Amino acid sequence: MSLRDRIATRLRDLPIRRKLRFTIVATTGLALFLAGFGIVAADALLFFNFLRRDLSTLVQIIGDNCKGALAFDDSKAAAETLGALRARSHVQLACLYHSSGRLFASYRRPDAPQVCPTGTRDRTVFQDGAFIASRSIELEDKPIGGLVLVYELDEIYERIAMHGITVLAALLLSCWITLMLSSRLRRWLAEPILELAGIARSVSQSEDYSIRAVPRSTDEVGSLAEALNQMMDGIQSRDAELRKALEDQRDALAQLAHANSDLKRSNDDLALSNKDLERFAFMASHDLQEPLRMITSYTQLLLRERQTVNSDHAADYATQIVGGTRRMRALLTDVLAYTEVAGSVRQPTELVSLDGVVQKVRNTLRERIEECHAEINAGPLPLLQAHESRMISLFQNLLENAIKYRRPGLPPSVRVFSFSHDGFFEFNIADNGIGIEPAYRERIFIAFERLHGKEIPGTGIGLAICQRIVERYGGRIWVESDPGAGSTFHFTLPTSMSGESVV
Amino acid sequence: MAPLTIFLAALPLVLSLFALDMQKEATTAAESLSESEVKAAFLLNFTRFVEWPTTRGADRPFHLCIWGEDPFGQVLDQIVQGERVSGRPIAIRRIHAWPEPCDLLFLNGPDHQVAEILKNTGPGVLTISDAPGFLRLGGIIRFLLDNRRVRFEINRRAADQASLRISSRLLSLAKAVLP
Repeated sequence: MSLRDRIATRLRDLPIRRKLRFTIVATTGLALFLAGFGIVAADALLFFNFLRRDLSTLVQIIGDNCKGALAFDDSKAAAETLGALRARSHVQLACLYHSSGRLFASYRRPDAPQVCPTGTRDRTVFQDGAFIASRSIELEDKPIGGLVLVYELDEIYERIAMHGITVLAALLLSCWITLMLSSRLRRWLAEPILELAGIARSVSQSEDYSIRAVPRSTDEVGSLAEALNQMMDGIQSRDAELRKALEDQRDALAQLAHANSDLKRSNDDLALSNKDLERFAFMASHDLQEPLRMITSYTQLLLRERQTVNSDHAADYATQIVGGTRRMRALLTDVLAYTEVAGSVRQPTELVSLDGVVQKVRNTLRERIEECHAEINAGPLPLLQAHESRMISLFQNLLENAIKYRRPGLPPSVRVFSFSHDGFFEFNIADNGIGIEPAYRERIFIAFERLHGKEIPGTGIGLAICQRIVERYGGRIWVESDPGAGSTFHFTLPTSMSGESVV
Repeated sequence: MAPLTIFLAALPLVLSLFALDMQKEATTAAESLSESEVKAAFLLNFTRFVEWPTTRGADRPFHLCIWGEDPFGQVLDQIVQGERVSGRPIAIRRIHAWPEPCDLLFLNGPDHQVAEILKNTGPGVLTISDAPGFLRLGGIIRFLLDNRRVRFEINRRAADQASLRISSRLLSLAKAVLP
């Protein structure tokens, strides 16, 4: 980088008010310097020419005055004539020559050490910092001698120096006054620009696009302020649009996520339903065929032995047929209940007391409870916004199982209690029954899966219904068991069900 | 503008060369001219500082007359050779009688004869002599020796009577001027 470039860079990076000051002072200084230089130079030249003419006149007059002295060989008179040059302090030397070339008379300023220059031609030359004027002296066209004057130019230098000092003083004074004025000019020119710069900076720092410049004038700075304001208007409205677009996008994304989760749930539901449906179709064809087959067989037997009229056999067959139809009906009822849970999406609006639900179930099962001397202890249970029929179905299936899978000879004892944690109510139904082997703890919740044969009656749908109900409300169900010592069924329901929230 | 700038820039340089002026003063020895030679030259030079009345003699040469013994000889002839006075050629006339048509009359003779001639001299004649009492006799210019240099004195009244105007420069060079 050259020095020139560096200076240019430094000048370019100066603050505007210093640039202004620099420009004003430099312009003033340069203008005054050039003007002063021109004036001094012109004056020196004019004075130089004036001196040249003046000197040539002077040498002619003195030469004329010396004519007589030369003519009559009176060097004393000539010296007197030349001595009059004392009045002209810049004349250093005056030498009068005789036509023979002999120095006839001379005048020397005391401080002039020079020897007389020769020459008798009429001319004025500038030589060695002085004018040398020479003139031939003639009498009736006959040269009788010559005069040479040496005139020092101190006068010109004094003039130049005096004018130079004046110009320099004027220059310094003007620069000083300009500096004083420049603060006022700065206020006038630079401050509106600095104000605009400050506004632009504060806008970019604060990102507050509502800031506006106040136009103070109609000049370029004023139109700059207006342009800035227009730009700010544009930026502000675009910023608002952008913010709105961002918000809309966020909303849209949230909606999309919501829709996505809805879709996923529906998809999961659908997959579940599909699996259930397949299993249901398989199981239905198997489990429903079994009582049907039995009914068919016994009915055929009854028809075949109609002639023998063995009433004992007939009664037995009829009992089997009735049993088959009962089981058929139980199966169909449970299937209906299961599909109902799967199908209904109605939102619950009633508050259901689970204490009341347990009481209702207890009433339904009273006969069986009394039959086996079962004891059911239910702790205080919460009020939930739910479908009462489903809650009844849920508790009935679990309590029924607790009584059904009891240990022989031991009266069933069932405890029902609940507590809340991590946003869920957890319900425990603990019995002292036969318990469940770990391998089966998952399978028992699958429809039509049964661990026990015909010694314990059941449709194999109860726990599947329970799981469906719990999952519908957003909870889960699982079992912990100690085979031979009883099982505890756990299920959770969200605490949001206790308030205004819905499923 | 450019020559001026060069001039101003060159000034200090020229000043510094000032002291190098090696020109010699003319020291030519004074020519050792004889007294008569100087006087002969003066005769001619007087004509340069004196104004003659214009009314007479413009159509003939300027007569430079020498009365009495001629102290100049050929020197004077050489000096006036080719010279003119107010455009008139100069003719040297050596005379022994008076009156003669003369413009400048150099008198070299006994005082009583000189006085006689001066009495009979009309206007327009510049009278010059070496004689000590010449001015008292009515002469206009008298040569004298001052410190071995040829000087002169002037009788202004005589000049006025002769209708001659003598230049102030000549008067200022005179050793003495009689009013």
